[in-house]
Amino acid sequence: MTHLLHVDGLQTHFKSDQHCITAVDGVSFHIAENEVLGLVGESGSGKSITALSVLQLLPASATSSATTLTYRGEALLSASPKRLREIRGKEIGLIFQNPLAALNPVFTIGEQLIETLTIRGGLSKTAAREKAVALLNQVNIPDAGRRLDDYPHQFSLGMCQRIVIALTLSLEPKLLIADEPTASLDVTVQAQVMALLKDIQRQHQMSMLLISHDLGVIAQNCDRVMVMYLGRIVEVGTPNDIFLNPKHPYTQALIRAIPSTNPNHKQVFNALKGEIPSPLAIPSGCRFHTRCPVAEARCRQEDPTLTACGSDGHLAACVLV
Amino acid sequence: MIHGRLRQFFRTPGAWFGSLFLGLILLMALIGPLLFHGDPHSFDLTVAQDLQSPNAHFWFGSDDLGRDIFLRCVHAARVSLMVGSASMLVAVLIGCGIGLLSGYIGGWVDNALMRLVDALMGLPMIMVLLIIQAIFKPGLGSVIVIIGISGWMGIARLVRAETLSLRERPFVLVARARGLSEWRVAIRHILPNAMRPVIVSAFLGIGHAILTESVLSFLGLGIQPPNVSWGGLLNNSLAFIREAPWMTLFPGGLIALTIFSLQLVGDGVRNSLEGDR
Repeated sequence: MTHLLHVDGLQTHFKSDQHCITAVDGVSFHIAENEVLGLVGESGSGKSITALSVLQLLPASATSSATTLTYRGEALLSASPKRLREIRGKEIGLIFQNPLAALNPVFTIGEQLIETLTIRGGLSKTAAREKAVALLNQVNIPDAGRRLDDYPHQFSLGMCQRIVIALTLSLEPKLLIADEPTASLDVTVQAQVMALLKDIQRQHQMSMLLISHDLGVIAQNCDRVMVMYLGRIVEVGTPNDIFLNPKHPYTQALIRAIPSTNPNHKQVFNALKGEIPSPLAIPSGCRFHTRCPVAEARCRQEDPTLTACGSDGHLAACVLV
Repeated sequence: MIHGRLRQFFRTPGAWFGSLFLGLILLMALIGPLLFHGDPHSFDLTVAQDLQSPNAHFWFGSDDLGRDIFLRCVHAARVSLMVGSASMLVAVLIGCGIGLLSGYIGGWVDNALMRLVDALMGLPMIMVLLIIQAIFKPGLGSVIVIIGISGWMGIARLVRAETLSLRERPFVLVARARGLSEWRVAIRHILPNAMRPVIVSAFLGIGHAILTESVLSFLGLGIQPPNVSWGGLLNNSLAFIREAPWMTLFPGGLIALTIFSLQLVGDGVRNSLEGDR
């Protein structure tokens, strides 16, 4: 299997007058063709920034560097703005977490689809309109021909997310970055949207970087899973490795924190103690030691790196493993 | 949606009156000169028709040269409304361009452009207008351009502020993630979303531009005779304010009522646009 995306030693800093925050600190991973890679972690762990760094769409205050950041062997960090624009959308697509906010409120969804299809897809206006209807049909928007002339606020959130998926799909990217695609949807709609995404991924033989803090979504849909904490990857493995045999105490804590649906199983909430530390004051040694239930004295000094544990490809960054 | 907006508009106190009066003035400016035949500039010194108070023949009275004030007001409405809206258009174009550039690019460009705005806003505009008008040949075109150029700063600030918040919105990020160019994102995706406050402020701006033109004309540096604007009519009336107050009253009243109406309509538009925010 060849690697579609190869990231090695990715660092992203946010600079202000007083501070320099390292939001992503030495993240390395790769995505193979047709692979769905999951990325889990709490809010503020740097998941979204990792995704935006790949697309080089960071805010002006941020800079990123990496030993390697290649898409199909092509370096993204040194690519010209023009080349990056060509890659965005057509090679790497982005699906955002809040679907209503991801659509321009003053244009109809048809105008937005047709704009993308004509400007980026090179279609004529009439061909673009036909393709737009076909795309909306593909993501199960009923009465697509007529609804093309509706504004985003006239759709439900779930429908909006399907429209966003259609919009991203319109350029047929090879790699889809889905940043919390179901976070703002309710459970049944979540399942529908996830099923649709998975379907499309299989049909079009796309690869996907699926970012979520919902462990259920990750467990069901990914080929491999990365767990991120405070700008670092702390554990990588197959869903079986991660969910049935977690090695890192953080992963273990995340899994314990999933509430049970069994009403007889009266559990105390196994919430993780404390909050994710401020990236302004990153703890010394292992970054997780301030909240780790099994931390030892050496965890304060030793900064663990990802090391193999158990089955093939299962890595964890903990000195106790 | 259109229906809801209209309802919101007319729920605003005074919006009825404002739009009715503006409609009337607009109608008068558009078809008045065709309806009421007669040359507003012609005068007849052989017949004693000068300085007549309003009567059946001269609805608004006549001036010192025996010209029909009503007819002159109708013709002047064209000029005043034209100057008001055209110069506002100039101001909106410049303001949107500078504001968008400033807010979207940011950094030193933003700093330089905003300091320029500050500097221009600090200038006593009427003095600058007088100097410019004294240098260039006054005419309809130059009056429009000059008033437009002196009035874009507020709009630029509005558009910049809107752009600063809009450019952080997810739909802008996602548009860029679809590979659309920065220009397209700025003009097609950000600018239309920034237009709400601009539209409201443009209505108020038209009133302000009409007023500025009146001041210029009143000082003799606006529209030049024989063409005339409401401000020009006021200028003429100054010498006769005791003998013939109608010469001041009618054009002055028209200016005041038009600006008042524009403000009422502007309020109505704001309310109707805020409704679905």
